Amino acid sequence: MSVPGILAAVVGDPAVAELPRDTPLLSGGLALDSVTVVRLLAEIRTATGVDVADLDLDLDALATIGTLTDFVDAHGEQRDGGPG
Amino acid sequence: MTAVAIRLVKVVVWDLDGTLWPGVALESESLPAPYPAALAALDTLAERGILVSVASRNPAEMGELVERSALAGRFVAAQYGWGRKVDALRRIAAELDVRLDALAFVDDDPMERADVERTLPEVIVLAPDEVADALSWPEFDPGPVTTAARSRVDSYRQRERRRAARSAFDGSEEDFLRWCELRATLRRADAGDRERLVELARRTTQYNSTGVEFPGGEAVVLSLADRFGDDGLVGVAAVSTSDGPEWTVDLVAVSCRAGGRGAVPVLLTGVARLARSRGAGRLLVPCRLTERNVPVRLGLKQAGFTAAGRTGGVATYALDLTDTPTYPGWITVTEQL
Repeated sequence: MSVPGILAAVVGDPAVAELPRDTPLLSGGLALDSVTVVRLLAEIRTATGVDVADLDLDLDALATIGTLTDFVDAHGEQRDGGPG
Repeated sequence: MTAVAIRLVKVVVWDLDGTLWPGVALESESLPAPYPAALAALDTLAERGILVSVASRNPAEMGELVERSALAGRFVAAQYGWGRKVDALRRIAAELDVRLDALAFVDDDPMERADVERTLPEVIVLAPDEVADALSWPEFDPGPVTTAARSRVDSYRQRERRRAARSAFDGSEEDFLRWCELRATLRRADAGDRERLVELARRTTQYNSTGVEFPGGEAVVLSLADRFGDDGLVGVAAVSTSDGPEWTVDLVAVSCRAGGRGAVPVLLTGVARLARSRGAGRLLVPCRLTERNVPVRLGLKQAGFTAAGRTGGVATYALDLTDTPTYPGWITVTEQL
C-alpha cells in the first residue's frame, strides 16, 4: 500500500489519501498527534519494510505527505534492489 | 545506566455487565452493586495512579447512570456502544494519548477477550478472576507513587475539557495554546523532587530520550499550567556533564499530557540557556532511535537540535549555543535557573 493510503487508514478518513503532496503532517496541516505519528510509522514499517524512525535521524521526512512518500519510496527501492 | 525493560500499564479498561458487577444492568431496576473484588481492584489502581476506563456494550445512557452512582468520577474516556471492543480500546488509547501496550482489558466474556487478544496482542487481557493476581505483576507496579500521580484522574479530566475547547476553537494550534494561557516554570531539581522524577522517568515512553532510570545529579524540571488547571511537575532533563564546552543531557522525560503542548522544546531551550550562561558552546542530547519515542525527537527538532552522529541504536542530537536560544512565542516562561 502507498504512504497516502496507509496514512488515510491510520487516521480513519479515506479523503486523506487524496490530499495534496505539500500538506504538512504536523502543525499547520494534518496536525497528527504523537500517538498517531507513532502508529503511522509502525504501519509503514510493517507494510513496506522501511523503518523511518531508524533511518531518518532528523525526521525531515515527516514534513509533508510528499516528503514522507518520497522517503519511503527511495528506501523501499534500495531494499528491493539489495541482496535478499 | 539501567534501561527499563518492563512496560507499565497506564489504563485498565473494564467491561461492566458480568465483570464489574453481576448480571445485566439494563435488565435491573437500578445499577447492580459492584463485585467487592472489582471495587478493591479499582481502589488499588487509583492508589497507584493507574487510570481506569470502560468498554461496555450498553447505550450511552449507561454512562450517565454510572456517573450518578457510587462509581462517579472513577472512569476516564469511557466507551459505550455496540461496536467491537477492539475499536473502543483504540479510541481510549487515542483520547488518553497512550500507546495500546499501556492498556489492560478486563472482560468476563471469553469471546471478547479472544477478539482483543487476536487483534491487539499488545494489550494485556484478563478475566475478572485474574485481576487480583495481575496487580502483583511488575506491569502494574509503577514504583513510588506521588501525589501528582494520584491526581492523574483530575488531570485527565482537565485534558478532556481542553480537548473539547480545542475542537471548538477556530484557529491554529499556536493560537489555541496562546488562548489557553499556557505557562511554564523552569527550575533546578532539588531533593524533594526525587520520587516524582524517578516516576516520570519510568512512566514516560513517547517523550523519553534514553529510557534510563532517573540518574540523579543536576537536573532542570518543568512545571506547566494553563487556564484549565495546574499540571505540576511534568518534565525533567537530567544533565551529566555540566561544566566545560559541551553539556550532555542523559535523560529527557516529559509526561505525555504535557508533551503534546510543546513541553519538550521549552524544557530543552531552558537547559540550553542555562548551559550557555555557564560558558558551554554546545548542548548534546543522546536519544534512542525507537519508533515509540519519535515524539521526543520531534520536540528536539522543534528546539533546533540536529543529529550530530549515531552509535548503533542511539543518535546524538546537538544544539549550537553561539546565539541565545529563545522560547516559543505561545508560552509564558518563568525561569528560576
